[in-house]
Amino acid sequence: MTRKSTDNTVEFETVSRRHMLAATGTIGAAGIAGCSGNGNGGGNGNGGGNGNGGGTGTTNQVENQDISIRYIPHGAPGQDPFWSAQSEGWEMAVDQLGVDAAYQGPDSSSNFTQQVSNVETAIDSGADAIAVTLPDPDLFQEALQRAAEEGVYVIVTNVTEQSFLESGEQSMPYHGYVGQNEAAVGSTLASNTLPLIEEELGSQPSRAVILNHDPGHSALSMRQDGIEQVLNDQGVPHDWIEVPGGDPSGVISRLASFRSSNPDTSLVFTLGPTAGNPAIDYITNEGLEGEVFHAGCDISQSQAEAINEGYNLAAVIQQPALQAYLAAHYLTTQVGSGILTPTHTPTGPTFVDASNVGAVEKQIETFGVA
Amino acid sequence: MSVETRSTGLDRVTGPILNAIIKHPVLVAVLTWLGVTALFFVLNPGVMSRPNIWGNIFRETALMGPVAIMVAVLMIGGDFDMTVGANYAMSAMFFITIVNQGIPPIVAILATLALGGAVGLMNGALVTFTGIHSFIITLGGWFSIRGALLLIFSGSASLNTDVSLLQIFSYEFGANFEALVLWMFLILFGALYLVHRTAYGNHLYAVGSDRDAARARGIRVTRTRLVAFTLTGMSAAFASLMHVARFGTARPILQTELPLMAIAAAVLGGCALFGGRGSPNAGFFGALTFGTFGAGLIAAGANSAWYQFFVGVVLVAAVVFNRHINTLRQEKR
Repeated sequence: MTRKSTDNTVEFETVSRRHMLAATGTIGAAGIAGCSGNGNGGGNGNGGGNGNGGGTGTTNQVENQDISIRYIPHGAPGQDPFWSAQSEGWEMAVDQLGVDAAYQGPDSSSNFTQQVSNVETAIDSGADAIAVTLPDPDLFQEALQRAAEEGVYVIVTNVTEQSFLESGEQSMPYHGYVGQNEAAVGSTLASNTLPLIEEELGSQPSRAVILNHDPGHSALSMRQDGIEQVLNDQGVPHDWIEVPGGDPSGVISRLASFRSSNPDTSLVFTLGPTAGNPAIDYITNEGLEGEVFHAGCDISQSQAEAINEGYNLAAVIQQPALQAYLAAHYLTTQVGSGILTPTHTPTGPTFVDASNVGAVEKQIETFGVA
Repeated sequence: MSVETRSTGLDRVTGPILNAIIKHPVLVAVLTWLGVTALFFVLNPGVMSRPNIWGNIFRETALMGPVAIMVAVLMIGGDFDMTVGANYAMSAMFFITIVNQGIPPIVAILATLALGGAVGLMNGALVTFTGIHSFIITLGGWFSIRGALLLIFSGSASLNTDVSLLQIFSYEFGANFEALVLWMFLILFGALYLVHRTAYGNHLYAVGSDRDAARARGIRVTRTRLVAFTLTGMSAAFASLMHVARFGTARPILQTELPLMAIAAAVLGGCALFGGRGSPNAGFFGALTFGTFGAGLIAAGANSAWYQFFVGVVLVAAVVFNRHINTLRQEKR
């Protein structure tokens, strides 16, 4: 890593600041600062020197210690492998940057009101920059308006307003979006999957079902609409059912009961790995390989294996780890060096099937989901 | 073991405090909240002394507070209501839908409160008519209301127009303090008056302690319980109106954890799980403690997953302490 040239004054200041952090770290150890998820201030401070975490403590990091950034998306890593990939991407960037950071999504996925409240508290507690997701944009109007007034830099990841993707129009202030164009996901998935299943079955699927694990989530609704539109155009009969996100056996039993009343269902669409993984399990557990096929959004280890096995046809991926990783870098470089965030950084959608699944294997190994 | 007979130096300090707690059980809840607040002040003095943070804590608490307060009242009478979360979501969706269809806001507010109250009344009627424990009946209610909501609404609903009447909830006095905080206190004082200053309150404690004995003394047990259920349902609807006033949008899976959090808040504040003991204060201070936790952890830069962990730890600690106090109280008698 390159060492940025610094003058002595800066070095001296940072040393004394480090001692202060060591002191606060000690106080924090009595309470919860030590468990604050980032452990940044306390950890570096106690070490009292550079090169603490495996030689990553560069001068850049010391400067970054003063920058406080937060990631407040709607997903909880413990409930959804997609968000655990996000959290790992975030942590990876935070370690590299040495910045004061925390992942502060709600403690249960899709509790949007808690998410908004966490954004408000982060603004009031003096964060320099925040990355958020906008799963239900109306909810965030007031909070993002306040962030702008307070001079807190905000970017959006993963899901944003439809108007922004269509025409760049924003109904509230934020400085760029890192993620895919959701409107294209559903149609990309369905229109590329139908020819694949026709190859397998020799005809179009007799019936398709879409599993929605979070009805009311605007991005999932867009994906579902996109899939339904293609199925309507192609004349494939289809239904959608709500499945409990975060409860794999619940997903399996809903899908199983749907299929027992609709035995002609040969294609299952899922809108994320939290429903996609159990759907794959359902197919293998019931021995339905070759009879029922799956296609989904985002890709996990078991889904990648299932693509190689043939009964998982395809996935549309958006690289969740990259979204969080870039968010941390964009926030830090804006606060530290004034670098402007690009208006839209598309991390997807990328269509993955048996022909190119090898290209994402390493990413799946590293983060669990790509 | 009696508190007064001990005479070490430490007991000279703790003795009077214990005695005060024995006289006023709500002090456990107050002390728990003060302890949590003190912890975050030590961790983060600069941030926790900002009025904006407290405005945010109270604004958050105000959405859960009315429900926790009325769930505490219901628990004094020995009942649970697991439908409050689903009722909250349904009331919010209902209000938005009818306002969007042109119903005057004042009528819509009254209709929403009536709907929430009707759900509570129905819970109460099913519980008292069948004699099945309210936990089971309302658990069924929770699932069926949620299911019905998902059948009717596939996604979120938003108000089409600005409803100026909702300013009675969302008016901001500054530093994030909104009118809905005042409404929560109004409900708290109303509940305190009802429980501690009226004959109904006495009846409720009697019903919660021993239903048969209460009936033998001529108390109308069924009516007492029905009123508590109805008020609890209305509190969920009321909180949902404040939610819509603040956010302008709602969805079917709103507030899934509310029933459990409201019970946890009431128990944290000193309500007995099997009735006969507690106060609306318990629900309020329990909710405030949770609200302080939520914001305090975020302000301290902690991962929000710590929230549930700490809620659990503090809940158990408070209940153990409460039981200790009760033992002491009974020994004093």
